[in-house]
Amino acid sequence: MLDIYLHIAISIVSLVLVIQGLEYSMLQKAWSKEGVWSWQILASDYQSLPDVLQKFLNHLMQDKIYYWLCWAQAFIAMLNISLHSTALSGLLFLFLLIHIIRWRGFYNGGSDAMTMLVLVVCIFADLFKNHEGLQKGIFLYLAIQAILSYFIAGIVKAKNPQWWNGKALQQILLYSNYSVPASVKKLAMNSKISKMSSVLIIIFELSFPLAAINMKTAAFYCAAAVVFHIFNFYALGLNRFTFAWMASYPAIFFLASRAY
Amino acid sequence: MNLLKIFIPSWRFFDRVGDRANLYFSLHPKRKSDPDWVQVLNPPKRNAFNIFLNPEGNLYLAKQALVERLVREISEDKENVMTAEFIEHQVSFQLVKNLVLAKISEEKILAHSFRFMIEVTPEQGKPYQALVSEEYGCN
Repeated sequence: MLDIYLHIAISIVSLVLVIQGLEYSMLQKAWSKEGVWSWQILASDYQSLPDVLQKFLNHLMQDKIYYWLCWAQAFIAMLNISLHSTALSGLLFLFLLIHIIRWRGFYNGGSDAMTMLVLVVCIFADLFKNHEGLQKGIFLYLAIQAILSYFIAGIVKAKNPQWWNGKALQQILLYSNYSVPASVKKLAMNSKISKMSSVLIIIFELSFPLAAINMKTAAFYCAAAVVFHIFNFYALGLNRFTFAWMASYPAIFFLASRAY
Repeated sequence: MNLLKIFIPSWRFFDRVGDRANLYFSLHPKRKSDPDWVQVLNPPKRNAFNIFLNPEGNLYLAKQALVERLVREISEDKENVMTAEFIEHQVSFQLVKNLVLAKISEEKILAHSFRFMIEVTPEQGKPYQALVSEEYGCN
């Protein structure tokens, strides 16, 4: 039973990595020698490493090689969607490490963190496929982290009175540096709508652990979360979050199914 | 980067609105139509397809995060240990300088030199200039 959930999680996280590889390859202008993130500048972050490692990184981060690495990631991730191989997942993990070095940390913040977590959990769950109990435990850890990702976000908002009265949401949508469409800004200017939306977000995030009760609540919360992420994309442009979080939902369904 | 963060991420999304950092540049000689400081980062437009592929949108967010990182690095220096020269040699500073150079080159602006400035608008309180750079050549 776990195999199905694990397979779906790997397929979705691989899809996220296809998107990631394609996006990086399309941004060559930004990371090439003449670009903003020129490796010639970034390399000084790694001056404390042994010479051999520095040379290796300098070689790996050459424009041409990094470009082909991005394409290789997209291709390998595409293969992994159907093949579901531990070796390919391991390779994808190495690609993620290379990007962390290339971009001085997670390029896309929380979505890269979730992508990495799902991938690492899937690799370990695959490695321990002969130890059923351990494998299930590892996959359940992903479910717990996925639930916590909403619950903790809800707690930190609930502690802030500005979230309850809608002002925090208003400030994010009206004055932050995100590219917020005019239609959303217009809605955010209405204090009542802003307050109501904020309270709904807090309630949704705080009650997310209810997703673990059974398959119906899991379906309800995961569907609502997809809608929430699509709105986040529309309002703030955070596209990768949608699929990165979707990759963790099979673990939530596994937890809710009580099949462990 | 702390490897533990991979297994135990923080998940504290939007716990506070946070300070807003904006990057500006100023040219010498100044173009007639320009204000004193011109904004460097402008968000790209997006469409429905961008939910699948959004390279420009994510690049814009990464650029914004870079500016915020430089502000954070400067503000963490509570004892004013960092001299202007030291800051100038920091990777974040050089990358932000590259951001400005890229903007000047993108817009095909002809100028001898430029300066850049980061203005921070705190959650509460008035905006202030967190950094004003020296003058640099455009080439």
